Amino acid sequence: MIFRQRPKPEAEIPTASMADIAFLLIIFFMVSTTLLEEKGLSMVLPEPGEETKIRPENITHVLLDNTGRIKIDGVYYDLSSVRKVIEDKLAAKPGTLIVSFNIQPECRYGTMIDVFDELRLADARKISLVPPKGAK
Amino acid sequence: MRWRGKRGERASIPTASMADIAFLLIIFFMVTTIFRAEKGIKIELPYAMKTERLPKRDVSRIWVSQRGEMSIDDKFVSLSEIAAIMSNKAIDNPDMITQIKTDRRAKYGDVAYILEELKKARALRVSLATKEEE
Repeated sequence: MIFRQRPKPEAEIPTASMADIAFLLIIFFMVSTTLLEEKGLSMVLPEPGEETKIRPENITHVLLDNTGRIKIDGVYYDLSSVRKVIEDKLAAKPGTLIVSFNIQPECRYGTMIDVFDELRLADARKISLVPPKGAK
Repeated sequence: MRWRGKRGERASIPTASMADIAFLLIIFFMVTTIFRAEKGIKIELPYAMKTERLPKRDVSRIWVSQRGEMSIDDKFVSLSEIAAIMSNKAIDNPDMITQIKTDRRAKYGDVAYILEELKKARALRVSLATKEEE
């Protein structure tokens, strides 16, 4: 038959663009993958039962009450001035000052983080979180 | 010169294996990508400036919602259970960092009691999750 005698064309899949397709896929996945970046204020808690006596003159008391008012050593301040106040106090007693951070349990968590962040920004390294009443 | 006279051979870079290399890269990235298994509960994190990045590994999370519900590994837990759960985790992985993800509208008291439980569980490395302030 005539058809049979026709020479067969060689079957071929073009692979030249395969690399482009693969790289396109790589780039697509790289772009669409949202990198999980988690941030936070880290701290190390004290061991239970580990209590050290600190001389009262080396402690600064920061009190945050239920309504979010900030009291540092008996004087009320607003959030924007906390950093300066703590910086000054740290400069007066470098290395020895401990910030005792007492937060009332009804206080909003966001407010607490704002103040805690300010303390960190003032470079207060030794911050003691006062445990809530009723906790062992 | 001799080599100049040589009949110019077509210069070509073999690209046949390029696709293999690219697919290998895809597979490598697919395998090394870690997916987040936990869903957690819906919260709005507070903002802070002086934040530190958390490593990807060794982190276990406690979620605290606005109303004070707590969740570990997608299970709601009560305050009294936290010490036992976290102390088991701390024994399994001594380098564990506990991340507390708390809604900014929650009460601080909820977090304070969790911190006390973590002290009991000897899970002493803690990170309070925040978003970076711009």
